[in-house]
Amino acid sequence: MDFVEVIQAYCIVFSIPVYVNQGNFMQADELNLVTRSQQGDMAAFNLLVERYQAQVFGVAARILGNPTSAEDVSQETFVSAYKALKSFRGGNLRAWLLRIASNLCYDYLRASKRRPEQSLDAAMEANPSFGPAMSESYDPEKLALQSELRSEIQKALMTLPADQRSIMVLVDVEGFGYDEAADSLGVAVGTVKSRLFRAREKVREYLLKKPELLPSKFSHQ
Amino acid sequence: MKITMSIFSRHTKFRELLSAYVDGQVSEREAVAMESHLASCAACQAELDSLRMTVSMLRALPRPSTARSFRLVAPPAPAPRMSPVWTWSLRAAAPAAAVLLLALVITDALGVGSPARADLRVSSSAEMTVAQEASQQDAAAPSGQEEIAASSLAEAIDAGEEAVGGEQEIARAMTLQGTPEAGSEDTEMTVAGGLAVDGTPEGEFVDGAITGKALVDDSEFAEPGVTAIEAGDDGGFPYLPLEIAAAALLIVLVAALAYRSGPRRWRPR
Repeated sequence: MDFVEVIQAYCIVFSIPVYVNQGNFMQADELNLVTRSQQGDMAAFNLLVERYQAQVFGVAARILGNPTSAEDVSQETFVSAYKALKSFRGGNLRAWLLRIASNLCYDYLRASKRRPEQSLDAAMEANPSFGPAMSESYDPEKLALQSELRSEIQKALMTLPADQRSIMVLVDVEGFGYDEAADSLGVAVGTVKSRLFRAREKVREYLLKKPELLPSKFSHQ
Repeated sequence: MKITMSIFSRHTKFRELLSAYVDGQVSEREAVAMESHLASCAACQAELDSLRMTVSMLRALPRPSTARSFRLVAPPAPAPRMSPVWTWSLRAAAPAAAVLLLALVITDALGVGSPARADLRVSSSAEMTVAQEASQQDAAAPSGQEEIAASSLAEAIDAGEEAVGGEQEIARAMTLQGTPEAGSEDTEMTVAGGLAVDGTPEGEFVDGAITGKALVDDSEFAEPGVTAIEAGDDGGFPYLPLEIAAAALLIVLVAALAYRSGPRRWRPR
């Protein structure tokens, strides 16, 4: 083992973030997996797939509004990532993967040339495999209200242009920071701010049409 | 009015900052200004509250999940890639082949390198008729060797047509030099194609330049209006094979470039 490998092994053992380049930090174990994947280690790459597949699918499903299409896009994301892994120079792997996924979503939306199906929440209700995490209250009325509200929120998302929708999904749904969202989408932070502002305005206006579903404090005059 | 517009524009500016303020993405100065404005503007305060509620509802959305795994089973086949040297060579060679083909076609059309072909182009039977009349006027005095200018007709009826008789057949353009009288030693005939001359000195095929007057019996013409001289083996620059080769090369290069490009796919940086 050379000196670099010794340092890497030390970092892996103690899960110390490793400075990669451009000021971005990567977990040492992830760096090791990426390096092995770049050398053709399929098992190492599949470990990375397992780490990020839920998030990639979730983002794709919210952008496309269709879980079946989201599965196809997610699979293609990881295939494309594997082929392009040699061009990955380190940094935020999650942002890199989601960039691939969002661009594939745009390609899918352009190719389909139709409004995406607004059936995500209906599909989630009908198919347990697409269901949400089981953290809901067991009050049926509350559940129904929540389900309808979620459906309306997804419909509101689908009224947005694809670029505003993807930013809203990353920042508001997935909890990304502005910098990471900008990195994921290949845009400037200022663009994230302006698109997010417009997206939130539109979603808020859409939801105000269903006041019965909203908390009383939501609407204002 | 100015004050109203100023208040309105400040209010609009604060509204635009609300979204970033919710996420803590404003500068310290902007945050202080925002808080000061919110303390005195109920409308902006209410809008901030509804904006926070919108964001919290979005954050509460459950992440869709699937039981399907996206692990790769087998390594995907790598896309065939041509080396950069080949790619750039193709990109340079294709336009060069196009230019070469164009140059060959243009020089061929202008007759460069084939002066005989350029000289002997015949455009219409009317020109031949005029030439025939002109040559008939000169038919009385055979004056030995004459040369037909580049733009003249391929055939001219000489006074010695009588010696030639009506049995001439002209498959291609021919010229007669001198007096086509039977037995004349000066008579010289150059024939490009089949010609049967009755009672005249044997034709002498001259490779290359054609000189003299062409002897034509227009009644014998199968196609009087047709160009008497056709492009053929005139001994000039071989344009046609080169043009075909250049066109074939261009097609191959374009096809190779198209194959190399393939369908456009997004490549992550």
